[in-house]
Amino acid sequence: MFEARLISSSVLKKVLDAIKDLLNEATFDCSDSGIQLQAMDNSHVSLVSLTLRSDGFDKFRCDRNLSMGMNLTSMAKILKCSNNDDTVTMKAQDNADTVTFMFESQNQEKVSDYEMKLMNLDQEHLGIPETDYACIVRMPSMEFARICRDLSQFGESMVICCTKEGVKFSASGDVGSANIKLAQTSSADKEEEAVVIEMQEPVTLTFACRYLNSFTKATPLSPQVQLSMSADVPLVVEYRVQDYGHIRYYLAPKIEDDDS
Amino acid sequence: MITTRNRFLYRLNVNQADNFTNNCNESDRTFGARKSRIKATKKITDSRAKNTKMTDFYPVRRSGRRTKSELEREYLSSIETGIRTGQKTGVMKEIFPGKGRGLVTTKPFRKNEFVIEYIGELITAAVAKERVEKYTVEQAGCFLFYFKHSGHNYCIDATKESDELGRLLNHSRNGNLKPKTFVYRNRPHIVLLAKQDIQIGEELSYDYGDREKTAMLNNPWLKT
Repeated sequence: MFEARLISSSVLKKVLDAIKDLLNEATFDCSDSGIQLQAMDNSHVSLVSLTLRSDGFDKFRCDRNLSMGMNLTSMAKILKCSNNDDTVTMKAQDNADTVTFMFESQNQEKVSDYEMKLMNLDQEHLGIPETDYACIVRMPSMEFARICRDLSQFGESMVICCTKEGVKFSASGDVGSANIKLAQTSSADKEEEAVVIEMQEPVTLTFACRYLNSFTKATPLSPQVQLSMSADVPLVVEYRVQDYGHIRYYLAPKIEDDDS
Repeated sequence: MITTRNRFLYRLNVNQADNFTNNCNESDRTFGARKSRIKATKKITDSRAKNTKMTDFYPVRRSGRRTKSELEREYLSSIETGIRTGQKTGVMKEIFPGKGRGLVTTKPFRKNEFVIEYIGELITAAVAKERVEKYTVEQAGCFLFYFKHSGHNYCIDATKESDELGRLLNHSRNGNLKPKTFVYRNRPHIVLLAKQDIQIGEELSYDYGDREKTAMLNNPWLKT
């Protein structure tokens, strides 16, 4: 028996919005420690890793480990049927081929049940080691979303260059080129508004804007975003999911093609 | 969105002003087409840099979880290692008033974990019968472990004084260990596994299983 209850459906809605751009379907791995999801997009260039800890939920019960393959478009359709302040309960039997979403209105007067068929997904799971990154940049998530949006107008790729002076995002294309430099904030009223750079070594990496733009769909989840970079390894873009855990996006860097 | 605190530098090198007035996507496309014809020699352009894949960096695991058979195999090999190395970690000899020697834990054990082997001489039940008579006369105490394995009755005789710890385990009908036969190198061994989760400092014991009338009379502690 699996049962997970969230006080408001808005968190789940935001989480789903954050991943459905990259993934069509995904397997939710449930255990007594919480819900985990790891999946690559179709092109295998990026990877989403979602962790929702059991202690964040209003109620959480998972007797046996359970993997639920879900079509995210269908799941989004179901979640759209809930109000933001509805209580959501996800339920499944141990060997079930369906999952049930139950929405209860705040005044308890309306209860809706939606049952969704589960899928058997043959997905590859990557073993990602703990890494000490050469540069870690924390910045307001809205700022990052804005930069990604602005720069993607100038080219397919974005170069992120991090030095101790600051972090520079640049793109160039046929229109011309664009550079955005962010210096470390000297003093900020709120921690989440600051730009903080922890650097061991300067790093310059190139990434596809398309994926970064998809990652920024998680912006409503957290006021702050963390970018972790090291030379020649994927970038990690992390958003905290308040009380529950985090969502991490990994993006393989672009490298110069030797053939041309 | 732009705060004064952060210093922003938006720089636009517009080479062709007329191009820029167009929709960016539109100009991208027309310009891209021309570029492919004339093979521009700019340093890094979009077409030059190739996307790498996640699988180039991280190894694929078929599943994040281990299969049941894999866990089973691991468990059996942990018992085998216990027998092979004569493992006695987390177990300590202690003298109990009124009971004599016994064993206590110095580390917690999980349910079903290997705790210790009952080490002694493997003999047949017939041989054991003869020895019992001798031991009764000598008042050597009870260190015989009878068991049945693939249709034969065997016994492990640990009467001989040794440094082995398994022989010192006391009896309790509600013990925290369960004996199990385990075949290693074609010989049956008696291993004692944790019947439940065991905390540090608990006395280890198992049910000797002797319910014989005479034995009960001679050893009243068997009732406990």
